[in-house]
Amino acid sequence: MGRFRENRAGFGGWFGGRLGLEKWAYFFQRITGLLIYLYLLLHIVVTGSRAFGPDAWERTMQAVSGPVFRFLEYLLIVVITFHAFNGIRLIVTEFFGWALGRPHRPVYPYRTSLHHQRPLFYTLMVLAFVFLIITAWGFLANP
Amino acid sequence: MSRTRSLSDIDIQMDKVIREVTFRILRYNGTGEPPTERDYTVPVKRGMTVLDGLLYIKENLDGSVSFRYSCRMGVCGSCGMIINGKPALACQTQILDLDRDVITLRPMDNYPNIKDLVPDLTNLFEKHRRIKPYIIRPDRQELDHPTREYAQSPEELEAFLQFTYCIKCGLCLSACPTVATDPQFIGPQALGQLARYMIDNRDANFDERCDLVDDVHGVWRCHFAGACTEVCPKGVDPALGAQLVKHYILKHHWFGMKKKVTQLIPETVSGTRREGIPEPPPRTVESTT
Amino acid sequence: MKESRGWFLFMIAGLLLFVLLGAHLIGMHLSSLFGISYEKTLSFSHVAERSANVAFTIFYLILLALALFHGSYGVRAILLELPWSQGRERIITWIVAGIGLLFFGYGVWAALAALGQKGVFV
Ligand code: SF4
Ligand code: FES
Repeated sequence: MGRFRENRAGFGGWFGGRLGLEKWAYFFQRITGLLIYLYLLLHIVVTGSRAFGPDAWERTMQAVSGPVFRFLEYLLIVVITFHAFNGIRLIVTEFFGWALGRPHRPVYPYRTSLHHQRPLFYTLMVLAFVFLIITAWGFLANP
Repeated sequence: MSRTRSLSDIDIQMDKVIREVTFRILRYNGTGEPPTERDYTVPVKRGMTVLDGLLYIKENLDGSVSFRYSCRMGVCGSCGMIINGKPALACQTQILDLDRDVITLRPMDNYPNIKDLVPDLTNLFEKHRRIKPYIIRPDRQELDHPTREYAQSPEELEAFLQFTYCIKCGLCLSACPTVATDPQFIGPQALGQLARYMIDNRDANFDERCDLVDDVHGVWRCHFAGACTEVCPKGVDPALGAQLVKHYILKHHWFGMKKKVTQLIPETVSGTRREGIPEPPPRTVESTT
Repeated sequence: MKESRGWFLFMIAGLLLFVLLGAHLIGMHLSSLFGISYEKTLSFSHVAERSANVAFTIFYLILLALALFHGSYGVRAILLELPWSQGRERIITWIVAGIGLLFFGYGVWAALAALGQKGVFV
């Protein structure tokens, strides 16, 4: 009976809903993951040119140099850093089942697994931020 | 001296209209035509919930507004809807707490809409059924005709008790980003309940339960976005359940994790008298029986 | 194959990538932090030198396999959750795996070819 009867949230459901940090983390994990995947494929092709000798290599490097690409490279590092540090949180919680707290009698106000893993989340994000600052310094030192 | 408030004092306050709030309800007539918004003005008194507001509309303004409710106290799980963009129970949401002049109401996402605020929860119940939400043991005879209890310590009960608070309101599926695009995903409610039966030491079906959701649209479509836990009105924490399920499945498949299943409590032994205990003094009153 | 097998490897690969890719990233893109200029890191003589090194080549191949597996599995997860992928799970898996293998093949070939150039350019 059509879209209105089905009433599915669709892609809006991936980020909307006035919900917490973890849902945004989930959304950015997807977006950054996709970007990194596309970059990886590109990277394999670009660096593969070394097999064709110095001329091919220099030509490819020429095509992807300049301040614009250097800036994109920094953005790439931002993206990878977020994905990696948030990924560590997901490995800790989803894979090892740590930092989630145990099931307990729900008493209002509820303290859920989300609250339990938030210190870990904040710590990792601070670490990621510190790493990005150092990186920015490295990039500025050698633009 | 502190002022004591008489009952009539409180009554007066309860009856006072504190503010007027517009209810903006997304009306859908069930024919597949696009839903339309309609505004209703509701005089709000202290303690009024969104459900009370809806009942006011139904009684005084427009009898054709449809919504589900039953217990009006957060127990039956009928009145889930999206209130100001957030999935919540209408009967658990105080209008004055929202502190808005306009309250938008629309039916829960990710369920087929029947009319106005009434979703069709069939797939929620089907998904729940798929994880076999009941205790399974080899001793069928004992299960069907119980003679005694299964031994379970208070700690063993607390280990899963949280998940038993689920009222099947379906808000978690409505908030879940995966369910939003993948209708076949088993969903947080079922995963929370699966965790409940995986942990419950009376259930002896751990090995099979590990395979129940280990498929393409099973537990691995959960990415811990936490939306379900965020909206759950009972503090069930289905996200925790889902992560525990993943953890158990991995432990089971890769490290051969087995569950310790409890048995019936030992048969009560009838009292025997120990040697050398002095006799009680003789009775001083006659037994009346 | 059960989904949990792939997911287990996905997570392990993610954990390893954190370490290995971190090393790769710091070595290649942030070499300026250690006083090696960016141009120098990417000059062909340096690249050829690394390519000719067996240990580096093995490191690259491991990194390539891990990254492609982790990436492909993740992309597959996103694709599986799209509304129009219902009933096409197998095709999606094969397409993603195919792309992954194609690029893996190319990466391996390039690494081995560059390894074989030893002595020619250095
Ligand atoms: S887990 Fe919570 S939100 Fe989901 S159906 Fe049960 S009570 Fe409702
Ligand atoms: S009416 Fe029963 S939960 Fe709201």
